[in-house]
Amino acid sequence: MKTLPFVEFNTRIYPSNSNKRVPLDATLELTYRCNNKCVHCYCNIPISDQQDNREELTTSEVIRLLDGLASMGSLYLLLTGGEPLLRTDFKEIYLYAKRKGFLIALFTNGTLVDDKTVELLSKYPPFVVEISLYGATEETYEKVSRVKGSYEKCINGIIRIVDSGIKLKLKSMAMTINQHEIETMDKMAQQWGCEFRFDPIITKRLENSYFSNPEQYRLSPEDVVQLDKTFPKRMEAWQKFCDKFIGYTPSDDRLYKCGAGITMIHINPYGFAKGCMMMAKDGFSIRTHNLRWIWEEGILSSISRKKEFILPCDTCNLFNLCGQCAAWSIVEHGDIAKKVDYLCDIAKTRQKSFGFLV
Amino acid sequence: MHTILRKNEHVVFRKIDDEYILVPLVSSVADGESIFNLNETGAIIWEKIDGKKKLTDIVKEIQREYEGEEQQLENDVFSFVHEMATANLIEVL
Repeated sequence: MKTLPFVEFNTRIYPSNSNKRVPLDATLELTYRCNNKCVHCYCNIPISDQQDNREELTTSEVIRLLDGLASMGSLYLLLTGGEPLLRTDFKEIYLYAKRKGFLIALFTNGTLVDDKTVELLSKYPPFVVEISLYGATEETYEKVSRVKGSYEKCINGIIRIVDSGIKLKLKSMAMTINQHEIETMDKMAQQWGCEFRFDPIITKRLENSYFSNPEQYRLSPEDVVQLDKTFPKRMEAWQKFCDKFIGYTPSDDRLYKCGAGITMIHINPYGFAKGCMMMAKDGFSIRTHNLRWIWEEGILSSISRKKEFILPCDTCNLFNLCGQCAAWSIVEHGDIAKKVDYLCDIAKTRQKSFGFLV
Repeated sequence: MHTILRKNEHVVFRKIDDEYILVPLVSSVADGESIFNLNETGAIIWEKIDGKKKLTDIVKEIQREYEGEEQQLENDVFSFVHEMATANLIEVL
């Protein structure tokens, strides 16, 4: 028997030279309902949406789904939302997933973390809890969350998790409203002994909704780079990434070139399974299809599609830096054959500004 | 040799692709930074632990099923069982 650090174990189960498809990483959005109303969110809907509540997977459907994922070899399970702790059956789902042997990451806004949540997570620890922190001050946080009192609840949730010794990471989306507080959020995280990361790339909504309009909060490419440069470790990571991945153009005509549908499977609150969350227009219902068929046939057919159009990105050596992909094009433009200028502009600005790329 | 082995009820055995692992459910069995990885023989021994069989029975079964010098196989099973007991993955009754 070997006791392997996860980093080492992962190199064994994610061999870079393998064409084998195993859904090692499963993401399950338990609900799109959320008690926050974040301005930048790509999927949130009001907590009071009873129609949506009725369409979500039932407890027994989730249990059956977890059985299926375990039998197909899923190991890492992300429980996310919306706000997953809103589900009244969260404890039942969580414990079932634990007992199936998943390594669970829980993404939450932290505002609903109470004594019972801490008791559950302390006794049966997740692989990690990640709480989204949208501001270092009440004013900024609640400009993003649009719910009075949510900042205090989030901070209390963080402190409860920290005090209980559960592995916690904090993260934020960097946007026009809170970019001036990202550095302070990082310092707060350090004081709590947590890792902190932020993402300045804001996705449009997967489905149109009056509830949020994310793209208006996007940072300019210059501000994105400015934030990058504020964090030396982030710049080190960028340099390593660029040393390894920049300079290559797409080498084949596959539409999807990432791990979507290769090691990743995503299931939304209504039971639609697809290769990744961003593949908004794809998906096969677990209510009408066998999960194994979805993985082995349905998703395979989605990701096996060939790219039958030309993009400037095809010959761009910043391809890996920008992250352009078909799923992004669909979410951004509703058109698979259009490049995403938002990503392109940020990549080009990074190229100009990162000394090591000039 | 006549002791009975029982799996820790808070440990789940899983086969992930070609790897066999033991996933602890509670923090007392794991540090959260690493995972218990078994080879194929270890996985077979794990499957044989049912809370009823004696250690000696498991050794005999392994000796029947595997080619090799009997004493060496016995030593290998003992060593594996000792490791698992030390890691709190099984109980020795």
